[in-house]
Amino acid sequence: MADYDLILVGTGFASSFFLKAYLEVAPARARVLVLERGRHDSHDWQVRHRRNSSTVASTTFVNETAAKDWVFSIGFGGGSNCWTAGAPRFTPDDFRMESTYGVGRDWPIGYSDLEPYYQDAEELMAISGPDDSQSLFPRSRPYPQPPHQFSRPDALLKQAFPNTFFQQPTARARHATQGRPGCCGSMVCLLCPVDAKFTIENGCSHLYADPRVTLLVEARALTVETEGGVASGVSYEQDGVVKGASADLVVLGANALFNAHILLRSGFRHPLLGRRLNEQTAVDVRVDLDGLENVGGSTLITGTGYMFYDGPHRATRAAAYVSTLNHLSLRLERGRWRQRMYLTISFEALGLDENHVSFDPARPDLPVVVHAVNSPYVLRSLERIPVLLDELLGNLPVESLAIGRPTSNEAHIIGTTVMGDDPESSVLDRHLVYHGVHNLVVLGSGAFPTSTPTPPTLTLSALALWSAKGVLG
Amino acid sequence: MRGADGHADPENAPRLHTRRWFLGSLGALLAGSLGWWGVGREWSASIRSLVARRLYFLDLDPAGLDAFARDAMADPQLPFPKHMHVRRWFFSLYSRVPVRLFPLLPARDRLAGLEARVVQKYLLSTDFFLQGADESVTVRYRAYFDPYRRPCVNPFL
Ligand SMILES: Cc1cc2nc3c(=O)[nH]c(=O)nc-3n(C[C@H](O)[C@H](O)[C@H](O)COP(=O)(O)OP(=O)(O)OC[C@H]3O[C@@H](n4cnc5c(N)ncnc54)[C@H](O)[C@@H]3O)c2cc1C
Repeated sequence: MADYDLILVGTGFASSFFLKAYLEVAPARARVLVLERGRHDSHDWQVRHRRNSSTVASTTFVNETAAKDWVFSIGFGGGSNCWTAGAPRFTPDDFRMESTYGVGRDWPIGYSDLEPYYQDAEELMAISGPDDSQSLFPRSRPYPQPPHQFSRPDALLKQAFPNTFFQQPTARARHATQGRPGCCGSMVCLLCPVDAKFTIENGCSHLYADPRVTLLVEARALTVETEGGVASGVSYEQDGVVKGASADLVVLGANALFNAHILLRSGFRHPLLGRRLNEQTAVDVRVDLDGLENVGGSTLITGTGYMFYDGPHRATRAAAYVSTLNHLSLRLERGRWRQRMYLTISFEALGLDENHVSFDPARPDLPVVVHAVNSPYVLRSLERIPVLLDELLGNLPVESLAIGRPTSNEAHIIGTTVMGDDPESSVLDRHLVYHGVHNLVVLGSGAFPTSTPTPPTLTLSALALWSAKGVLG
Repeated sequence: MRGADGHADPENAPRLHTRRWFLGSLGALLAGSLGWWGVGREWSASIRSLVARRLYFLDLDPAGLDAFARDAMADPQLPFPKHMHVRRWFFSLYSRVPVRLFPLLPARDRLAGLEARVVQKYLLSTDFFLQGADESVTVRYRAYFDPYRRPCVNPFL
């Protein structure tokens, strides 16, 4: 008999949402082992130290492309500690890029398959969002919380784009929830001083306190063991000692760099494993306004724009997702202190085989990450930023603009274990099971066949619930 | 100075010596006073003059400005290390003379960014926005702006 029914690697969104669904159907005698490589740096610890983690994430991999960063957080709760909590859904067309626009790949599932799981994930995180976005994102139930307040410039953008500009759906609570106060606009969301954004610690700790669950922190999964095409367990390192545990089901939720690395280190050799690493590219824009005060917005990111998102242009250049921000940034000029706003325009990426994570036997503990090629699909959209801004800001009294350089990361790690129905052209099946290994599940945005310009976390969380349903029945 | 054949001209030597001595002394004096002006100065004095220069059109309560400068020194987010004399010197210079007058200054953008952060911190630490950003009223320091000690302070809400 195996030591455990389930071994789960990681304690971020993907693992925690899978665990939630698992515990709902698991019997009282079920045994779950959770391996988390980092420490449990509590919210109090983080506020005291003014950082999200006691582990420096950049020391956990080798980056072969100096111009490209990969940002994430190690430790209990993973990226939930540092995320800014933007939680929009993908659009229905995001799931069918190839059949609609002839680029990228279709997902093996559609928006309607995922919709009930989106709803559940939104309820778990008490997402605040706008119910007037039904035409873009059909919903079966209203958002759990009402939307945040627009700023004054947002209100003008809404007038100009009534069907494509909305309040950002977010896990920064609009009102207090059980365990979280409402967001009060401190504008330092990477580490919320009042703990108003959803984190695994404030929203899912009870899962790890369940008597069926054994959580080991500072326990790093090294490899997935297999026997006869079946996953039999995991080897892991704790206190400098390599140990092993067997299980009937193995689930990886360690993010798209580490999941692929663990599998490659274990000897998995699918030609696409580790390939198509990608993430969005974004550009920040500072807008100085003439006579219009940027006040009234009730949280950091208030608006999201879809005016440059779907449409025929997507056949040749990347879709754009617009966010309006309320950085605490004063204009140091007489009488114009608050006449300034910020925008971020994010563009989707295409997963290219050249960009990848690999395993180097000489440095077995460190994924080697290469992102050497940028797709012309994205570059064509970047060139059009001035045109987009003209159209976007036509309704606002713009005095001047400062357009930043494309960011070196968007803190979203996508690709490396793409999902699909065909085992030749995908690593995982539609329920995120490794093709040919029926009891090995690989969660997270590594599975996304296309990036979309939208932040990934709500979708990867919904996908973890969908996967649990598919695997556990 | 050299002769046509490349040898030193002994005739010129004493004159040269006098001029070099004069220029050297002048240089040393200048460097000494600039050094005294900069290095001898505390970071906090420079923070004070930076804020006062940038917000020259506001009436800033002087004791409050002193208190802010002291608190800013203790802010780990602002780079005022005690041992960095060169940086302190530049900062001292910059706190009195606007950076746009130094188009070739290598640290120009960094200094301008630091100025924006310090001045903004100051304003957010005062009652300026509580008084409706009224530029005719004296600006008074309340408490150092730190969202982790005093969350929810935001004049944009
Ligand atoms: C600064 C920042 C801001 C962000 N803001 C947003 C946002 O607003 N909206 C959005 O949608 N997304 C945002 N993201 C992205 C978001 O954080 C990620 O999409 C999300 O955390 C991924 O979830 P995950 O569970 O797949 O992985 P993670 O959250 O990264 O969790 C992986 C877990 O696995 C652990 N682990 C890794 N390797 C091992 C191993 N070998 N053994 C055991 N454990 C291991 C890690 O310590 C971690 O706990 C942001 C990210 C950052 C860094």
